[in-house]
Amino acid sequence: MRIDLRDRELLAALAPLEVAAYLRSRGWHEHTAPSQDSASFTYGDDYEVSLPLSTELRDFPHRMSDALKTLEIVENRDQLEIFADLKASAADVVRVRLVDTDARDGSLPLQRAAEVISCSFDMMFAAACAAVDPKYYFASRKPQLAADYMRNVRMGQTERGSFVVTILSHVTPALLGSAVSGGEDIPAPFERKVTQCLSGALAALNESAKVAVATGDISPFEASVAHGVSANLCDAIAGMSCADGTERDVEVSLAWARVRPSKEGPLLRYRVGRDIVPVLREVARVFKSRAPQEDFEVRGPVFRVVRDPPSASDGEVTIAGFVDGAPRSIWVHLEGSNYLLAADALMNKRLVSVTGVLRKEGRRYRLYGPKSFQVLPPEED
Amino acid sequence: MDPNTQKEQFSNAFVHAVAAAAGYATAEPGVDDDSIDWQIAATGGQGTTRSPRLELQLKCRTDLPIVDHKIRLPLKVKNFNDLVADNVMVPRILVLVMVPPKVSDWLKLDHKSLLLRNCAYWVSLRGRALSENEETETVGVPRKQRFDVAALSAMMNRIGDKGLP
Repeated sequence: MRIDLRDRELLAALAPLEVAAYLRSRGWHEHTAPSQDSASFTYGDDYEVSLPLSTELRDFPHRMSDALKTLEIVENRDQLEIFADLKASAADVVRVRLVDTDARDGSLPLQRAAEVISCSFDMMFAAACAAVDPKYYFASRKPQLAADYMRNVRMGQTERGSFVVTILSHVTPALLGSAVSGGEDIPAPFERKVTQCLSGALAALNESAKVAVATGDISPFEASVAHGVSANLCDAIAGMSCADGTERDVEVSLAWARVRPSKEGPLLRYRVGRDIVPVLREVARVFKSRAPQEDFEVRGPVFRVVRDPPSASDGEVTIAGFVDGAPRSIWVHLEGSNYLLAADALMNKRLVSVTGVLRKEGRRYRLYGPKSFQVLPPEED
Repeated sequence: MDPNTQKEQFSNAFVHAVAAAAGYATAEPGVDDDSIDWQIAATGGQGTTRSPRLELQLKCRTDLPIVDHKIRLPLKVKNFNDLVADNVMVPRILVLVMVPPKVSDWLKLDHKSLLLRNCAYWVSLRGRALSENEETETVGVPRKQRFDVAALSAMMNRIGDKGLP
């Protein structure tokens, strides 16, 4: 039995540009110059779709319904299925497939499903952050652009085939001429940069991991940061792979939106084998320790102040603070008055607080660009 | 059977008969809509729609007053406003089927003919001002605009030439 789509609001939600892109991608031809209101597409000699071009038309849902009826006959499948594809034609679709014996019947323990979805979110967020500016590690503060993007990323219906999470990243449709030919000159919209970044990062991850497994050296990962690999991405993929302490293979595939074709082929597929998951964990750990942490607040007692030469106005101050929950000595260069305050704090055994960019340098930590230096009042001691 | 349902079914048969004789296909609208009852279309090879197309709203009534050769038909405001819209891709008309008060008079069949009584008329309300009435808007359906094979074919030809019904 075929199911017809009759709901006026659903039909009204279809976008003419998306449907036109879908038709073109399926071999339909625009056979006359479009009028202001409609464009006529034909398929072979027998089929015609009059596509309404304005959602303002009072019979817009009726005409979309006509188009679906015709597609149902041409493609010999359910209108609901075609509708789902039409909607997805405006999105890059990322699929996370768990190659998991646990998921063979298409279901998954709820807790594991929650983890996989959460990791999928982290993976997309990591790609979005890297698309803004690649870094070893994105700590708590994420770029605004990436956060805005994440609000528009949607999860589709899960699919059969072990267990597949689908993520829809809607992309601005390319107008004819700007999509494939001009791709190099005109920068892609941000949402496409994110999926490209994800694709590049996954490819780099695969390559680097192979080398790392063979040589025991994680340095190939260093170069992959520029391609979008980050501690967050490694953590996300390792998290997807892990169930009850055992690692499973994960496959991530990417299909580009029909409304904006890509030069990189219609479908990309990356399989992250369970053998490299421990490598990813280690890379994440190393990257995190190496990454500068912005807006990092150091709080603790001053235990050393040094001016060289002693007559200089600025000096080095060492504070006993905490980094990622562990006690660490943190070096900071303070100018004149703050240096003197720090020296007083040392004498009077008072706590200080200062914010800046924390970097790990060799075995020690240094805080750059110190601001908001203050000696804390005694009641906070 | 409920008399209104009976009228609805009879008028459906009326429209189907005229469309079939004129060589067009009838289809129900694919959208839940109480203002469009049928779509009439020339068909392509596989039953897919080809322009020209026409959509109609169908009413079936017994006694209605006639003023100036026009049948006075009260329409619900929502139905009226859906018919006056001019921002539609497929033109819409109103078809009124008049039937005798006695149901037994509706249909006569013998060895030579099938007689459906009384008559169907059509009118296009496109471009009229939207009604601001609360409940109904009364329209005049010209008695000279019979909905027969010749009229339907002529309408479809006009639409095919990018004209209006």
